[in-house]
Amino acid sequence: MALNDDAPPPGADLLDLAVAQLRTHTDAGWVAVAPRLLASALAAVRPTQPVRGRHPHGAYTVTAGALRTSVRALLDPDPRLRVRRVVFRTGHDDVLEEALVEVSAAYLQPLAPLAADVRRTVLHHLRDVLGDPDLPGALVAVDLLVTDVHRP
Amino acid sequence: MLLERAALGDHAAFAVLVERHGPSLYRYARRLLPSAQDAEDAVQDALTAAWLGAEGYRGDAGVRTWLFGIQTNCVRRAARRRAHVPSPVDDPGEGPAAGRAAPGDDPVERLLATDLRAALDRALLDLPGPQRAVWLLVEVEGLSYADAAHALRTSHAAVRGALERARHTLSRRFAAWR
Repeated sequence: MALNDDAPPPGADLLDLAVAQLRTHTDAGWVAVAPRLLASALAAVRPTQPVRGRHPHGAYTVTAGALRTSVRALLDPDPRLRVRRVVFRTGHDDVLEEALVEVSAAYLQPLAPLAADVRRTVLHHLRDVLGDPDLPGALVAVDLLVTDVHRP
Repeated sequence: MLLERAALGDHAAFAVLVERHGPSLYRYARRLLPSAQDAEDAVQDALTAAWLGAEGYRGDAGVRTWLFGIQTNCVRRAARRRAHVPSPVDDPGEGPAAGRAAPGDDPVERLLATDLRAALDRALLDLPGPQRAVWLLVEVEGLSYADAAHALRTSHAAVRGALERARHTLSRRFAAWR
């Protein structure tokens, strides 16, 4: 009697069972090392460009990464939005020339007041962190892109 | 979204990503590398690369595919390093088959599950590395052919061919096991 070509090969049923077991299996090795591997990854410092700040006693630099994290932490408590991306562009002497803040707005949120609030809040924060109360809003553009909506 | 948040320096978001995908990345690495230490090193490298590279993620592949692509590179690097070092024999209690108890309360069911998984781990050793990687990504980790090809930087046709050969070899091994 000829074998049916469509029939599963011998052993396929056991193999399927074994695969199902493996899919739901967590290796003991992972359980043991996961916290350490996570901590180690988070301790790695991202290479990032410097942003120049001013102080009566001289100039200093803040990393763009630290600045980005601080903007995110500043906006996170606002239930009207979620921060998705923060990008800084610097020019000559690492002077900040542009900050782009991308957020998704909460469902049915009036967008224009939200954009204005974010722009104002971020500008105030940058002036504070970079030690320049006169940082001109027009020069340091905070562009806000509403790319998505979410439920608060 | 979690990766976007990680790119913004959000540790908690990255921790959720690791909680979600870490077990799979380790399971994959562990079955491609000869020792638990090698797998641990490769996963550590991959998680660090993911954290450092989160800002560079452009979304042309899913996050899971992106992570498996990074993990594949780290496994390949580890395997190249390993090629120059003698391989220690694993403690039987630390092989990939050792792990959390299988689901189900029935001891017989648990034993069968453990035996099946151990048999699969042994059978996987018969596959050449590239076939094993394809098979693990598609059959165990649930990636599509296209995503597996993306993660492995190979073609759709190569994935299909490798998968077919791997299935054939494994089925034969399991037929004998029966």
